Amino acid sequence: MDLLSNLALGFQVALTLDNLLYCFGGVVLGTLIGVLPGIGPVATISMLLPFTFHLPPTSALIMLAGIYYGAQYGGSTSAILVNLPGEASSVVTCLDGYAMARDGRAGHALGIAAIGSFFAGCVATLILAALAPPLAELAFQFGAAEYFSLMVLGLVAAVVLAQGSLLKALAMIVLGILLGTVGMDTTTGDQRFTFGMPELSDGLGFVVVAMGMFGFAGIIANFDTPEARDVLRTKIGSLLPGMKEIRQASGAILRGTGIGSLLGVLPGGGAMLGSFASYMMEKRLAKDPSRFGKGAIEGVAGPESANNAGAQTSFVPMLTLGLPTNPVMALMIGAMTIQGIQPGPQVMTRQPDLFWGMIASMWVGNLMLVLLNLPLVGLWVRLLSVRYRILYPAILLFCAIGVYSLNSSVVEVFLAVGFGFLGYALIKLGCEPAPLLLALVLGPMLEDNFRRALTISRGDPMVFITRPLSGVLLLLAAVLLLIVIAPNVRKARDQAFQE
Amino acid sequence: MAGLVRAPRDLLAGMFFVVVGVATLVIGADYRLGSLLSMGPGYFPRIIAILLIALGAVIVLASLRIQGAPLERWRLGPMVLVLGSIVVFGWLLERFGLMAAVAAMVVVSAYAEKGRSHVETILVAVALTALAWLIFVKGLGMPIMVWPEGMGG
Repeated sequence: MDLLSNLALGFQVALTLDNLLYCFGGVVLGTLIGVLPGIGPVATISMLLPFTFHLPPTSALIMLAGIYYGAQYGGSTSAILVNLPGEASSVVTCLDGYAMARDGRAGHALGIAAIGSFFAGCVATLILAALAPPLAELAFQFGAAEYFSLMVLGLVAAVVLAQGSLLKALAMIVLGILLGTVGMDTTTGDQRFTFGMPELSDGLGFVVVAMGMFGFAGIIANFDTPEARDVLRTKIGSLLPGMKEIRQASGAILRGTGIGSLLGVLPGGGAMLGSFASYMMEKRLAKDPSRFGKGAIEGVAGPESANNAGAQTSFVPMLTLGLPTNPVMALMIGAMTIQGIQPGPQVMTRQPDLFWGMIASMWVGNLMLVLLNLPLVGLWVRLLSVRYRILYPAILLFCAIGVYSLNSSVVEVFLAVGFGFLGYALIKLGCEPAPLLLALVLGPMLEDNFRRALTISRGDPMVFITRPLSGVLLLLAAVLLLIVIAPNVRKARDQAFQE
Repeated sequence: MAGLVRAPRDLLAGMFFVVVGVATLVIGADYRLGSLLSMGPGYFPRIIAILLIALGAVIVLASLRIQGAPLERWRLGPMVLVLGSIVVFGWLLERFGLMAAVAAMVVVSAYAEKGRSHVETILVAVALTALAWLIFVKGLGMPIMVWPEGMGG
């Protein structure tokens, strides 16, 4: 009953004209950047973050959330029609989606992707609404030691998700934590690694780093891969798949929603992992696995449901524990902080309208996305012919003004340039920037809880192990680390990323 | 020496992490350490720096034993132009205002992509400067210097 009244409150907030407009704006922008390769939700959200300061907090978060799950819808469009993943989470959709398109069934592939995503979005909204209150309740029981161990687990999980070398991903996490120590030490008030710059005493701005490493460095790295876009000339055809195809896909949609929701909640989770896992599962469950890669509809339905489910359920730990599990959630935490909201379990009790309004807006947003994506698919496809050479100066413009407007500080613009260089160098050295970004946000929280736990335990470091919940979390982190280091799992993981 | 290294890219990455870790220890050498019970500002960074050095060292060692990727070629041109355009933007912004900064940034960054005509560059610059004015000055009303002093608003 509580769930219903909570959702009713949420819909009251989400259905106001203002919030509907911001939600619409978010999902349109999300679809747009989802369709366009070369710009993803992390860069977009960090670009817009400084400007959301002028909005009411609920509207700001509704819009930013819309960008993230909207990108999951858009990503499938370019994957299916152009064989180009608009988003990392749509990589596997290329395999069978593009094959279906070449087969003349592009419309069916787009249709099933949208239907699957919508179904997954509805279920994930309910999961979020049902799971959040008990989790927030649990979070109140968490002490400093538990928070510390949970963050360690989350960071280890983020390594599993990074592409390429595990060791380098671990090092990037550690580097991110280290960058997080820049600024004033919150406990003692001492300045650390600020080099006498007053701009650094509040710590390295998260937006500054994100903009540098994802915005600027991403643009430079895009010059390395020549632009190749052959928009499919064949007709899209009917968008509604036949009964036989729907029946074929329905199992995949259900399973994809399940696995995506589950992997989204876990630390380190998000949209991407779910789509890979779902594809592998469908291939394994299929009576005839050889159909995959040649236009199996399950290979589109499963992963597309999973990435949307995962995108939404990854809000669970962010909203209930105040812990980001992926870079996008780290940005959402940043958005809350800019608005003066302290993220954590108290958000639900102190700002129920924000909390439930945001959850309800996701369902509304999903509905808008189906309506936007199916009839207007032709329009989105035409967008693909917008050349990157026109696009990137515009992205640079938003990034540059965005960084400046944060604190009206030119120094931060130059800092972002520095991180642009660092980001490009690291990309060239095969180090992915995403784990670093997550660690940068978690770093100060990690240190704070580490110190507090040890002060409470009178300096006994065993506290992290002897407190049962904390011990279990650390054990999980250790097991996870061992599993991914084990050679055979590594091979399977590399394979999954290559497929 | 060259025969010793099997994964040049990882070697460089590992060395980078080690250098950053060592630099952290050196810069933070006089940050008070404190004790486990009451940590000074230097305690946590030192743990993290040592962890980073250890990971970097393992990456370096692995690069000598396990075959890996060669160094990638850097696209210096686009890098200098893209980052340079932002520096130009930052330098001009508080001296000559937003319009000049945006226009100059677009022009500089446009040369990162080869084969663009000057006419196209100017068109893009004009369009984006107008867009910036529309969104940030008209729309959001950002408190920012728009035109050079003594000209217009």
